[in-house]
Amino acid sequence: MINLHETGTAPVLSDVEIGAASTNLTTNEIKPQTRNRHLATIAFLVSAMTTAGHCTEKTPDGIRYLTDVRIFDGADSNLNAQVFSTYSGHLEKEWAAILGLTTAYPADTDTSNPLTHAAIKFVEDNMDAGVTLIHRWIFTTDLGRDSGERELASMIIAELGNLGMSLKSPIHQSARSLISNALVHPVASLREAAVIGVDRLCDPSLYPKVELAERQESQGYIRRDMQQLMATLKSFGA
Amino acid sequence: MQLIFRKVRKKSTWEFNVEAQRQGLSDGEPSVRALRDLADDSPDQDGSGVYSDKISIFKIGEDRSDFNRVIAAIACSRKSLQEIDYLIIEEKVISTYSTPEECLGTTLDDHVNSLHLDCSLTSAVKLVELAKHCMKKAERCPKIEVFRAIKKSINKGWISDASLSTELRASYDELNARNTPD
Repeated sequence: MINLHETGTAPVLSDVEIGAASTNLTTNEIKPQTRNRHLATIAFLVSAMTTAGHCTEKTPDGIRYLTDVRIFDGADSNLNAQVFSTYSGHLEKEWAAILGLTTAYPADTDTSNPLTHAAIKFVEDNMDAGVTLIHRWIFTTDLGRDSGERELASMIIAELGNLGMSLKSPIHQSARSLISNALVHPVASLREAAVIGVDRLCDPSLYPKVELAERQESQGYIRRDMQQLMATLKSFGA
Repeated sequence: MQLIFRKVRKKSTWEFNVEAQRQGLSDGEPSVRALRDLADDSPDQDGSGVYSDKISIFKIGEDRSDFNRVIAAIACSRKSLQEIDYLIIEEKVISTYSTPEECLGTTLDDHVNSLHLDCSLTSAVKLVELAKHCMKKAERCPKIEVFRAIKKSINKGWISDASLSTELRASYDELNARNTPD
């Protein structure tokens, strides 16, 4: 595991290690065309993770290097889980949890795969610290600069809605707090994502926050989404 | 006029929003992502190198009478409970660009399967034209409404609750336990 406080040099993975990942994929019966396409994504992932490892402090800035992972959105979830399983040990748990959230967690994930199941379990168990990092990143970084960062942040906000829906979930409160704050984030796409996040949380007590955000909202399409959300929350007991 | 339901990945892809403006798109101009969303149902899933040019659509009736049933059927095929973004397109518009063919669906609801059509889109020009037509027309069925649709389908016996995935079942039970008003 990389200690982001102490490591001065990132453990840049060698061609051999990347090759080992390739072999790992081969042995798991992923057909050639799919595998080749994903080898490129693995290179991105390795790059992102090792760059993150360069950070001498656990600053939110480090997360932006993980934006390359966005290319996993919509990719084969079983392969994502394999990649996550192979590389997550290189990172501290909160970083790994963020990676897991953005790779192995999307809705159509095949949870019958034990690796995916393990990745999801890992995310659920370790995401609380990850949410704190994400919170700092989203609210202290200029996300207007980079579309990849905005996309990653949006994806995380929306996914946290699913992850934190259960009232018993260990991250329910922190997810709820982050998502409701994002309803008034200066970046429009994050506000859009926050609407999805609140919808996924299914928490009628957030109605006043949505109502307040709707009054302040400058974009018509987001305001309409917020109005639909308010109607839904109301029908659910708000 | 028969209405057609087409599930899409993200409603925001079909909006003329701030992101679209940042990308330099003009109002009503579809992004490459929108084209993918419309056309890319199962890209090379089996690794054969062959991409399907057929997209999956459902008839929902002139008055959207089958809408909730289609929503429930699609939702129950997923691994977790969440919102569904979609397009509603008039059949005559689809027919301008393609000839939809009846093709039994693979959802958990037999009636919904009978509403399924495969729509072959081989021309890139026609794909762009269809996408242009669909801009700003994406809608969202919120998670709670998806839950209600599933609940109705289960209560009516259209879908067996035993067929839900473990994860979907957990979310369903969680919402059900909150005494959800129907």
